[in-house]
Amino acid sequence: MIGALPLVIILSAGGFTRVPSHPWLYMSASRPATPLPDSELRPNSDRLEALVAEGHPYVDLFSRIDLEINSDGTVSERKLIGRHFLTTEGIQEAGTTTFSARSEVEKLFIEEAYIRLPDGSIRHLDLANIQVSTTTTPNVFSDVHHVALPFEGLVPGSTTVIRSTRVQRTTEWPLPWSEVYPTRGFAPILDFELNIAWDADVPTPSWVSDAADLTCREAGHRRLRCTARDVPPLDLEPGMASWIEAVPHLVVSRPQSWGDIARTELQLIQESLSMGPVVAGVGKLLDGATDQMEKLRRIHRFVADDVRYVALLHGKSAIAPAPPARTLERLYGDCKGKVALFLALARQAGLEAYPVLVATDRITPSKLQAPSWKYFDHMIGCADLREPSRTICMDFTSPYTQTGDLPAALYGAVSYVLRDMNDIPHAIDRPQFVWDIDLESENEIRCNGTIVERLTRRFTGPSAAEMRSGLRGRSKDERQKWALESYRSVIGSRYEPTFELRGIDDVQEPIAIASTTEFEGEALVDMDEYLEPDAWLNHYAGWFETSNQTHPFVLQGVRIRSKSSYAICEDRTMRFVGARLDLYGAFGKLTRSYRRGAHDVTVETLLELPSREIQSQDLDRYRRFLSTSLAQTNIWFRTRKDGKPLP
Amino acid sequence: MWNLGYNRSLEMDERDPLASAASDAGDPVVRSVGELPDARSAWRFYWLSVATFGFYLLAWIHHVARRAWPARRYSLGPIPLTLGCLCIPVCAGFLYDCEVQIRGVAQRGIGRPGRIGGVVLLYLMIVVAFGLTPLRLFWIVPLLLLPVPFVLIQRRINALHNIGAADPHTRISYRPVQRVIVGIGTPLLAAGLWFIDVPRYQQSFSPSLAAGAAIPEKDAVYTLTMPNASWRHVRQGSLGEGSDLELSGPGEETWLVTYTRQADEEALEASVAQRRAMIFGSGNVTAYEEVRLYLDAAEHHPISIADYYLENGIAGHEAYVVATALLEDRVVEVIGYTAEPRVHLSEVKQLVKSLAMRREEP
Repeated sequence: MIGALPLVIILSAGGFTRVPSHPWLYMSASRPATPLPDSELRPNSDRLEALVAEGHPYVDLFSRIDLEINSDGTVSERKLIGRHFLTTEGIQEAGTTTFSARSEVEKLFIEEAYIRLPDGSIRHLDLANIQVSTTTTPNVFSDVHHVALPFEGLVPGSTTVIRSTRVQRTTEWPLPWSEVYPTRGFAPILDFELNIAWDADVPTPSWVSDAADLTCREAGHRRLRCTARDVPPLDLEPGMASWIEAVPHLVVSRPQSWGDIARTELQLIQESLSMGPVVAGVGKLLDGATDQMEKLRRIHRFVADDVRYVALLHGKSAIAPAPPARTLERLYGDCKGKVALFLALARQAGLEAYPVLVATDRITPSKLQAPSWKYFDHMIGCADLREPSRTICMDFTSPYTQTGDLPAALYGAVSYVLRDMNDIPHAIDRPQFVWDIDLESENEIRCNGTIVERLTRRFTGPSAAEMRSGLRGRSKDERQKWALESYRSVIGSRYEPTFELRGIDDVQEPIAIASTTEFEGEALVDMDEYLEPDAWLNHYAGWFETSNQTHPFVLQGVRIRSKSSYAICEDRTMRFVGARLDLYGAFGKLTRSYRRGAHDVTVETLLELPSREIQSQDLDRYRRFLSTSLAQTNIWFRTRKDGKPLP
Repeated sequence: MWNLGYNRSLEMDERDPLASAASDAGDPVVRSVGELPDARSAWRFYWLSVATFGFYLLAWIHHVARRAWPARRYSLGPIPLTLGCLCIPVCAGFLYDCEVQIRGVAQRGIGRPGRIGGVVLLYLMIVVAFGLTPLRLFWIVPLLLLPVPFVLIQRRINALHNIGAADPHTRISYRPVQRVIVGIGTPLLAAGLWFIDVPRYQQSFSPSLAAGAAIPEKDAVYTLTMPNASWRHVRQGSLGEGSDLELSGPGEETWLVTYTRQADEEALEASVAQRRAMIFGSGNVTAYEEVRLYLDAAEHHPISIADYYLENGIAGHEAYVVATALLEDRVVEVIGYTAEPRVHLSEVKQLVKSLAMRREEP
């Protein structure tokens, strides 16, 4: 939902005017008389030269935050940001500054926004150009608004200055107040400053930081001042399991414990559950189901498949689930609404079920420095079964996973079980092998050298869910087209396989992509030897490569079984086969054996890379293990025309 | 019996030379069956034989056989007899006949002909010594020794020529063609000695490596550990071009050679495939097995160990054990070979499989 503001300013208060279409957004009614001193709006020449030499496209000259915790329950966060652009790339990247605000519980004041141009002149932002948008994620609707300030006339050497204030009404938010401030950005910050002040009758806020270059000290009565100079930019890599964990943070919050958060969230869920019973019609859902696993499976399938995902995250709804009856009536809901419905149904079925908060972008519980709800962005449901005794967790927003599996991305994520008030967050256990792939090919090498390959690629467990999520929404023709393209991307564009795709619509079945391909050629016509790469094994193993250099890589465990059989022309006999592989390494193993017959050979290969987090110092060794192991996977055998088979 | 020359024919004796030899203790009765072979300088004859790599001996035998023809001992003409002398018993018989005939003539003219069988015995001793000792590894040794019995025969022939002559010495110089042959053959002989026998000498008589010793001692990314004390260094280039280590093992045809090349990750596969094609092309491979594993589980240096067994008909059995390892940015290939797989294959395997990456000493 994006739209330019028809800035018909009709309200004015305290020097600010309220934007009528966005009553939570205020803008300064007048331009500031005196911009900041010129010396503050450009780096000194030595520093500037160094920044240019280091290749930075832009730099934050200062980033100052003044946080006031007021006795009336409001928290005011005033920001002053000065950004200097060194290159046109920097302008392309960060020339438009964006703020976010929750419109139902916050107000945002744009106090001033202007550019200091290289010639020293000042150009104020045309407020009519300010843009407001909400999230564009399909089926997600919330009161989070993004306010974008598209500065005009930016050229390298310019500096933008923005002063804004966000005021939160914490009394309207059920969970204890907290803020998590990153102390690094995508560009260097020459001067970072955070000042915290609180009223006399406000509990002294707790604060904690893992930023080594941040210095915090008391700056008077009920005041705290944290500063950092010459903060380097974030060192990010595409393959990072959690880029947000690479960002040092300062957490400021009202004193609270994890138990406080659990208690409050459970209370919200309980309130939701108590708002009317689940309709009786759902009772048929469990008809005939006798054992707990079957009951759980039926409830999981109903909530995940028949209740579609639509998130209405306005105000308190961002953390309080909708009542199950309402979710059932609408047949849609968000993650916590679905969990609430699951809890209601599970309790009706006599299952012991509970909700679990998940921080999908975090994998290290110890990096949650202080209790705060702000880390978590998802909720799943779990149930403890008695016979056999096991815990099963389900993500009800994924209709692609079978009961017992989570989407692959959730394994290893930081979670917080909302059951025991003394519990603390922990990472969701990763199975040893999240990805389970079977490759089976039967190759008939005919006397004229043509090879007919019957290949089946089978995905089980979470890997099937990943494949299913990409295929289920496609028509039959689109699936065939996808299958052809993916086949050709690995084997080559000359071939015309026929495909049969199975298991896409039934989550209890593995996904199977079966293909038959005829390769015209002269295999074993004039040559005694046959050699080919194990192309599919290499292709799928390649998914688990990483280019990380400085950040850990989370290896989601993979097991690939490849079984290739070759039947050769009867006028030839099988003589010798290729290398047995016993490649056992620090990160897994690759084994292979050949089984030779008079006129055929079967090659069985197994690659196992168990789940683990690979630290940066081990990345080269991991890369070496994977690439070196895969380099040994050529399939080779030698035949002889009219020869006798060897014993 | 040879005729002592165109003007010095002796009386004929119809007795079989063999029978004459058998009754050596008695008064031999010989018969003249041809002309006395030409006299020639013993030393020049010797060197001509050496410089022609022994081929001149065949010419000499042919000459002697032609002069002596028809000898009863063999029903062979001069050429078949000459070729037959490539066979040890025939050659021994020929020398024996020479001795018998010389003795027959000598008893009448020289007076001290020597014991029959001495030359044959010397010839057989040379042959046996050559066949049963490591001397056979040096082709120069038989080349130097083998003409000696023939030279002794020639000396006696010269002596027969000198019976009654005023000048007892025979000074017969090389003919021009012989000079050319000697002029070409002598440097060839020296070159062969330098390039073939000297390395073999070093190979055979260099000190053996101690059991358990790790080689190479330095400047290599790998080490091999000696399984026993029957391996010794061989000069580089003796067994393979561009190698960086060469060892000879027990027996005559057991060796090991290593190569080190710059490489990328694909090089192991390429190197193994290349060596496999080479060995498959070299003979009848009847067994082939390969396994690939990591030399160490921590650093992931892959190694391929391939066993080849070849059966080449009458040429016998051979076995190769080839270890190919990717050590950082280099491919190390260790090739062990034995022509006596039943005897030496296990220790060849043990040595090849001892390939390990060299660890820097702390």
